[in-house]
This record gives sequence, C-alpha cells and structure tokens, in this order.
Amino acid sequence: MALSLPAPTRRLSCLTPLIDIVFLLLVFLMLTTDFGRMLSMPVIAPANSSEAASEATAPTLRLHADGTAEAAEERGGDGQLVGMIAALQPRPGKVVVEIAAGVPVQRVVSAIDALKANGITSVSLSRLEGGAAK
Amino acid sequence: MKLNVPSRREHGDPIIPLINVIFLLVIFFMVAGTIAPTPALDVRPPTSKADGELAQAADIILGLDGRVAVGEQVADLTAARSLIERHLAAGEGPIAITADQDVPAEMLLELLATIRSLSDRPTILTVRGDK
Repeated sequence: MALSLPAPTRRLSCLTPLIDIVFLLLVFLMLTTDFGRMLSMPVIAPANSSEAASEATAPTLRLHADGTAEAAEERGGDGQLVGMIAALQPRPGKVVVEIAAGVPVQRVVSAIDALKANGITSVSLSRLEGGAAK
Repeated sequence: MKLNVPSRREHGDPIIPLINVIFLLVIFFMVAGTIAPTPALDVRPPTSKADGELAQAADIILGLDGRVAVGEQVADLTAARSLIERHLAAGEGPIAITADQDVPAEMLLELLATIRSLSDRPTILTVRGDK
C-alpha cells in the first residue's frame, strides 16, 4: 500500500546560542561606547620668569570670578567675549588669559574658543592676582 | 496500521530579520563608538565649540575634588608631583590633561606649573567636541 507521507522538514541548525552571543555583544557595546568626540586644545602653562617679559607686551583677557570678562579695558559678560577680543588692536598673535580664583575650567575653555574664533591660537594661561575684586 | 508520521512543524514568527537588525546594530556601535579604558577618576571634560585634533588618551586627570590621577595612581595635587615626574620621564610628546569642567582653574594652573617645572613638553587640554 503506497502512503503519501509528508517529506521530513530539514532541521535548521540551532540559532539560539548565536542570538545569545550577539545580544550580549550588543548590550556590552551599548554600555561601553562613547559617542563624544574628544578633541585636544593646546594650552601654554603659566610663564616662567624668562618668558614673562615677552608676555608682558601681549594683550590680556581677564576672567573674573563674578562671571564677567575684561579685554581692552572693556568689561562684559562671557557672551560678549568674541566682540571684545575682536576690538583688540593691533591684532595680537598671542593673548594671555588671566584667570581669577574660583573660575571653572569650562569658562577658560569657552574663552579660548572665543579667541580661536578671532584667529588667535596662541594662548597663555596665568593667574589673575586679586581677581576676586569686582 | 499505525504510521509514525512526523508532526508538522509549527512556524512561529520569523527570527532571521531580528538577527539581521541586531547584527546591524552591533556593526553600528562597533564603527561609530569608541571604547576606552575606564579612567581612574570620573570627570566630565569641558565642552568646546572650536575645531581641534582628535585627542590622545589622557596622561593626567584632574578631578573635581582636586585629586590627580596619573595612569592608575591617584594622589592629591601636591603629592602627585613625584607621580608626574616619573610619568614624564617615561615618555615623550605632548602631555594630555583631562580636567573636570567644574574644577577651579587655579588647580589646573597649579598642575600646569608643576608640569612645566618638570618638563618642556607641550601640554594639551582634552575637551569634548560640541559641534
């Protein structure tokens, strides 16, 4: 007697271990990946005595602790930095950033950004003596 | 006569598209992300809108509490001098510093002055690109 049996289905190789591993890999990458681009910003350390003379002629940008900045005898908020630096005449090749006590690093970086926006890439950092004074 | 007929296989939801998508996600994370060793101090670097070269791994980390990490070792700012000296003697090229964005800048100045007193190597501040 001829019976028409269904053809046996071909068993696929088991995918579950593969999926487990790939899921683990995905979770690991999601937890450890950092998408932020880390950039480098050259800074010149506070001048020693031999360089102090050359820096004495460079214009200064003062960052005060009360959130204001001062350049070319003009004082204003950090938002006005780009304009204040643009007013520096003659166009300086180097600027000394004098930082008052209590100014966070983020403000210094923002000031260097403003200098770069004005084409000034040589920036020297220094402490502003008596910077707490308003 | 009883015949041992194989049971019909149940067809569930197709799993191959799911695997495809997960593989694509894995490839995306591998290509777009960066995996770096966990730093000895947890810091939030300052953000910068300016362009710059991609930063190298930090040599020295300045934390919000004023502690300094040089490699795996952590010390306060004054005690870190010997660690920095050893680190500077071991390598060459620019020194990359990562400072927390809220740390007072006078601590960064003190660290820069310490580095400058020990070496003439240029210093680089690591910032997070914000463009």
